[in-house]
Amino acid sequence: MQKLRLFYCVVAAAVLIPAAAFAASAVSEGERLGRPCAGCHATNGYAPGEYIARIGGQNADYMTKVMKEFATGKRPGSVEMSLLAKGYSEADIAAISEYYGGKAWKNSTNKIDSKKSAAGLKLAKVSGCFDCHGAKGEGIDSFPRIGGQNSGYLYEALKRYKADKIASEEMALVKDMSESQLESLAQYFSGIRK
Amino acid sequence: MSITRRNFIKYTSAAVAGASVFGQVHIASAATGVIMPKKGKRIVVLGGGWGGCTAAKYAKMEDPSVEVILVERDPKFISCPISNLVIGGQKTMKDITFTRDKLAKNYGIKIVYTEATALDAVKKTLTTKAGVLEYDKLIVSPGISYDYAAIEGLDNPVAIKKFPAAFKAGAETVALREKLVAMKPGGVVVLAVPPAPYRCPPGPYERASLIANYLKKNKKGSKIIIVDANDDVTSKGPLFKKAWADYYKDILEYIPDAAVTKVDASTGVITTEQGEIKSDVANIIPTMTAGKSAFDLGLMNKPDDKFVRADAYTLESYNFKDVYVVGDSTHNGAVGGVPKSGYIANSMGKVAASAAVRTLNGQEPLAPSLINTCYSMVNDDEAIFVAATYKYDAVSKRIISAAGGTSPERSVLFGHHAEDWALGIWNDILA
Ligand SMILES: Cc1cc2nc3c(=O)[nH]c(=O)nc-3n(C[C@H](O)[C@H](O)[C@H](O)COP(=O)(O)OP(=O)(O)OC[C@H]3O[C@@H](n4cnc5c(N)ncnc54)[C@H](O)[C@@H]3O)c2cc1C
Ligand code: HEC
Ligand code: HEC
Repeated sequence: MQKLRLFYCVVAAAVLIPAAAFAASAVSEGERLGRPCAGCHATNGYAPGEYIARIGGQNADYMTKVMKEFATGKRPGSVEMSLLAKGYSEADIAAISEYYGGKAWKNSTNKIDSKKSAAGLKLAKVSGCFDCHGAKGEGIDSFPRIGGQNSGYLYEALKRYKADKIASEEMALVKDMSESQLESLAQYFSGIRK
Repeated sequence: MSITRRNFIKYTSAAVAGASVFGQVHIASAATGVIMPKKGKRIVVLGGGWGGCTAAKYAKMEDPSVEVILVERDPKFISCPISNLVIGGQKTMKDITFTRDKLAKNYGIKIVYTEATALDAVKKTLTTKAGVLEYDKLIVSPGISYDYAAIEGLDNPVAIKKFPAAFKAGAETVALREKLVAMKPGGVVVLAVPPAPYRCPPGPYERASLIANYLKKNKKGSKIIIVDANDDVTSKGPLFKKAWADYYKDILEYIPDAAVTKVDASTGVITTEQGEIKSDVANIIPTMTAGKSAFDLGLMNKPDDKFVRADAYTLESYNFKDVYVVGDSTHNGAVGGVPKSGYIANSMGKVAASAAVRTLNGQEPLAPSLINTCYSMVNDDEAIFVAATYKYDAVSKRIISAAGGTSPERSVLFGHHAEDWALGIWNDILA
């Protein structure tokens, strides 16, 4: 769906702009607004650290939803994003999300604890994580990608669902889990490399 | 550090973006004629720091067919951000020292390691110690210079060595760290904050916090006294003051309205508007101006200007068409109320690169959109921050803040984010 939309944009641009100029520089509104995000999220949104999320190749609809919720204070645990997202209109947010969502995903390079990761896999299997997030955590429909995401970010996000700091019926299943179980899940999903 | 290198240019090139061709050629200098004659469209970038490297990379990303030449004096890229952690002992110089090789390798940017000396904006040439470079567009990001002469007794090699500013990362950073390590327990450290505007508003206060942290653990009975030329902490004041009260109550003293007027390198006595202090180690951060090259190249618009006026939409300088200015050298009155930070230099580099590429290709420049965030560590693992987005305001014709604020408190999670921010932005600048 999202790929189709992008393809359409490119075709439209090629038709409207003379060939020479198009080859020179075609910067979408999402790219213009989204470039500065790379100061934290790295070029193309491939954040190399542990706690700043990867956004290049994340599901665009999910990013749009999350950015709007940052702006309206519904995800107060993400303090930087709550301040920054207020600087963009809804149209801006959709355009930026489309820009980063259109990138190919690149998996995390974080170091993974193999014991915790193995425990995480076991828990994931019995908890149904794959049903909603896909066999490799690649995301299904508007359910976000979690496979290959940075480990610290995954752990922080899971703790927030547990503490009800992010309201989500689908993620309510983690409320009964311990923090060490959540850490194991984060280690497992972050460690997915293919 | 780079002096021995000045007789050479290290010319790094890769013919095609993404190609694996990657050679380094050394050419003897003293060239006065045109080097690397211009064939097609060309952007020259002066200054391979935060603004300049970003501009070079994003110009190539936007239009790989444009030739991009980066002129930089220092073969190493040493990061100012995180350098306070080297002074505090949490990190080493190795952690903040990088090469610019990936810019050549991944994007085909040609890097000439030499010093720029003069500009001819009519002929459109930049003169360097390695020869003359022709350009279609020139993007200038020369950083800052210290005004040592503003403080009596400071403008001589002995005093400069005795009181390292360490607001350009490198040898000065190492010197300050070594002085702290060598100091006897019970010593007095003075840290002088210059009058605004200066690079990295929270930088001196972060440094003071980390020095206090070091003294608390390693130098019993020592003190750090901040003498501030400003009337209050210039950034994140309440957050810094809370951390100082909670962690460094008997170690850190803050004195506002205390500009340094005089230093004595033989006795270590620092004279301020509020009186004299005998120091064992003193970090005197002088008043700052735009990088010296900005003056040498004739970019100052009014006689008393210390920073470069540029159009807020494109960052094209008031003085010369096709010459753009980014980073700490820019004049806030002209550009708007953005801090002199690495993050802003990074954002500005993208704005100027896009404006240069697009106008070179006969397209309209796009409206600027910028972000700033400055994290400050207050001890080994907790950080505070300020974050904001900026956009162009058509009424005032300036860049204005669209949203933002400071962290409500300090936290370990923000400490992790601070570390990740550095990794992310180094990637965006250099890789
Ligand atoms: C201690 C400290 C901590 C900081 N922490 C942060 C932080 O946490 N976050 C943040 O956003 N910012 C921070 N900053 C600020 C940040 O470092 C600067 O704002 C940033 O470096 C500005 O980029 P620039 O391109 O303007 O200048 P620079 O990065 O200084 O680059 C200028 C470059 O130009 C070169 N040059 C100058 N003249 C010539 C010439 N004639 N020929 C050839 N080369 C030349 C210089 O060698 C240099 O490499 C900090 C600064 C300090 C000192
Ligand atoms: C100051 C650094 C910083 C900047 C600038 C920044 N981010 Fe973030 N971003 C973060 C951090 C830190 C997180 C993780 C927050 C958390 O723990 O929930 C994050 C998380 C996100 C997420 C959530 C990811 C997910 O999987 O749910 C999105 C989406 C996002 N950022 C988009 C953006 C966009 C778009 C921009 C530019 C407009 C931007 N960010 C600028 C630091 C930053
Ligand atoms: C019923 C479907 C469903 C199941 C089962 C499920 N999730 Fe989710 N998950 C979601 C949805 C929907 C979201 C987005 C919620 C929101 O809006 O914050 C989400 C969000 C997340 C996030 C945050 C991602 C980000 O980038 O912000 C993580 C991490 C996560 N899930 C992990 C898991 C794990 C681990 C399991 C198994 C223990 C699991 N999920 C089971 C539907 C599900």
